[in-house]
Amino acid sequence: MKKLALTLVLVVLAASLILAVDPAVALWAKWVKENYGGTTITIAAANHPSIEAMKKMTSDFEALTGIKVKWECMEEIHLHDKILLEFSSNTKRYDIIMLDVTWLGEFVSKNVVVPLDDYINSDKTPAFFDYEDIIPAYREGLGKFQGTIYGIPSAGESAFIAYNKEILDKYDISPSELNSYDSLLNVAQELASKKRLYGIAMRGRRGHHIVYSWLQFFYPFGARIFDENWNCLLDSPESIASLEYYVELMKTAPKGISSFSHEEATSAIMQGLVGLWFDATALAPWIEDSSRSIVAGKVGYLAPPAGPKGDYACVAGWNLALSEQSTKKDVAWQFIVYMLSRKMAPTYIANGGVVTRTSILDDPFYQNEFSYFPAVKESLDKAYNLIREGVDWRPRIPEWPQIGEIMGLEASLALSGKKTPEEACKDAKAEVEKLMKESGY
Amino acid sequence: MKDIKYNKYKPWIYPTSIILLIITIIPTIFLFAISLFDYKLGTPLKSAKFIGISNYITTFASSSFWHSILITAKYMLLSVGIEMILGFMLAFFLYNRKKWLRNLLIIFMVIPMSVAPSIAGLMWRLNFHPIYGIVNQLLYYFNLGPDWYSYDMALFSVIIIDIWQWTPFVTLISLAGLLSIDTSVLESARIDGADGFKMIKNIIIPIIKPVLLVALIMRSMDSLKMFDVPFSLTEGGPGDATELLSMYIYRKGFFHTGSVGAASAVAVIMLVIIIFMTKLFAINLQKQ
Repeated sequence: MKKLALTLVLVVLAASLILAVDPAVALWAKWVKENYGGTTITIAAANHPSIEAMKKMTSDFEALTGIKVKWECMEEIHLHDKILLEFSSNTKRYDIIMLDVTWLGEFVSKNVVVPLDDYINSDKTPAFFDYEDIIPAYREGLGKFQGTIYGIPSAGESAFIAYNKEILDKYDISPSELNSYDSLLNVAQELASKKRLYGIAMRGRRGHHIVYSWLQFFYPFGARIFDENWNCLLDSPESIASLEYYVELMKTAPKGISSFSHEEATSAIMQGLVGLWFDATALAPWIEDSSRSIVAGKVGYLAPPAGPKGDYACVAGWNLALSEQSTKKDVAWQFIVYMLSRKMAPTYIANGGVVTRTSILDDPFYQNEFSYFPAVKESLDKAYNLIREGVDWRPRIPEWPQIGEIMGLEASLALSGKKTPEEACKDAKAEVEKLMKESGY
Repeated sequence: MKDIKYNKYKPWIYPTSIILLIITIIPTIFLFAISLFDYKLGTPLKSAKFIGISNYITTFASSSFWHSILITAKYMLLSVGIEMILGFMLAFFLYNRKKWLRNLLIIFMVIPMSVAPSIAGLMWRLNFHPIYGIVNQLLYYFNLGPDWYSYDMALFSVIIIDIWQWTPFVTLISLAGLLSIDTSVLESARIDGADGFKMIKNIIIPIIKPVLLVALIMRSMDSLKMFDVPFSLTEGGPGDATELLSMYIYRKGFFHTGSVGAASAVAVIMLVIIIFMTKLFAINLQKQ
């Protein structure tokens, strides 16, 4: 028996050396292949750098474990509706779903996803996964809901500012000037006055996209969506001021801003159309991808400046979760174990994945390799400020998606000039209050 | 008519009837039923609360519902109006060409119609891009270049796509009508002294009126239900600029809100409007 075990280990070591696979991973993969090889799992995901990285790693995963992976990718706003639609029709279509932190409350209350605590603390999870290594802000803020783990963070993000070094140099603007929201507006306006150049690219499309951009200013200006008793504070002077600022800043944005999602906004800076960009840290890999971006390597990154009433930054992100209707949960879990483990994190990052682990974020090698890491760390520190106060960047209650839609519609009307920011905020508050009352708050 | 033995042929119709029943009748009955409940997407069907006509009252009281009716009416009148006029003019143009040229041009005209509306929307989304799109690249030389996605222009963008896609449809139907006119009627009119415009107004149009009416009915019904193009192009935005009735239903029922009950009520209202309009047209057609 001992001889057999020894031979097995030697074989695996040899195989792993030949295939350049970590021995721990190889051993695990062998066990998975024996038990689950030949099964197919389906993943519902959005188009995102983290997913592109996982897709590049999929063929290795399939070869190692014998599990076949089917990807179904779509725009992130439609992903939410598609998942719910398939769930309502009981099609059992998806095994793994990519879960936005803002949908967590709704999906848990509708039993779309299952708790993962038992999976993590069982022998189904090898040691090289290392759940505790995931950045605490992401562990607590992204994947947990009311104390239970429902998702493993696959792409945590904050938001920060990117500036085109060449453009700023050309007009003698120093990045250190971007230290307040007033000066940000001034710089954007100055850049927008130049020929064939626009100031800043952000999101403006009606719905959750515009809310994402609006919230970047919302909290630093001192506004809150709810108070401790769930009274809506959307019509506060701070809230109105933040929306006015956003509308003013978007006058320096490229034409077509009212339909921009993160894709158009990031395209704008990737094509050298704008001097500034303020969006998710998870999109930095796109800006630094020299095969698609003409400004790769020429961009500097900054954490958002402190606002008049607060120094905060966004924390948001995506998880991978197990669909409640899946009949292959154990198989699907192995996919999550592989893709989001500590061992595979360097490969994940190298393929354009998004950092979610302390071991990567604190590693000097990566801080040198990726010019945006220091800014990400600073943004995450600012994000802690809000978490420490017990406030969710976007309230993780089941009603959030609807609240986001309401705020998104009103903000879009304000951006188009059909309503003043004050009217938009007041109407948004009225609608949200109606919604909260119906939901029993 | 009594000669036709219906009973002999009835079994041949059963398969189609059953399929139609399953695909259209039963879901429609479900639609009526669910509109009387408060049902949210993702919750179990049993948990839906019966609330009677509350959804309908909320809908009629909502200003965004009336706004989307207004947008839909604007859209329908502009797109169908321009399509009918342009389509007929094109049909007349084709009618007067030599047969080989006419057939060649028809082939080109079929192309827009054969593109799926959602793909047309995506295609034009790139064309209308204010900076990279080909439309503004060409208009640049005339010092024009509007933001096709702004609140004021978005509806026109959708209308332009509709005209691009369905004018050929009107053209083909009108052409069929024109080609079916007995040339001896035209000859005798010409002998009586009728010239170009008088000929069109007093002879040709009255003869092919039923054909034109069919085109009008079909285009009107389709444009009332239009969903794919505004969805692909602007998702109903910016603000509520392109929120046609179908987009309004989608936003109520799916777009992060999931109030299927409320959306169904609006869908029923839309169904009633379409049935009403069809009846109007059908009566007009019978008069011809």
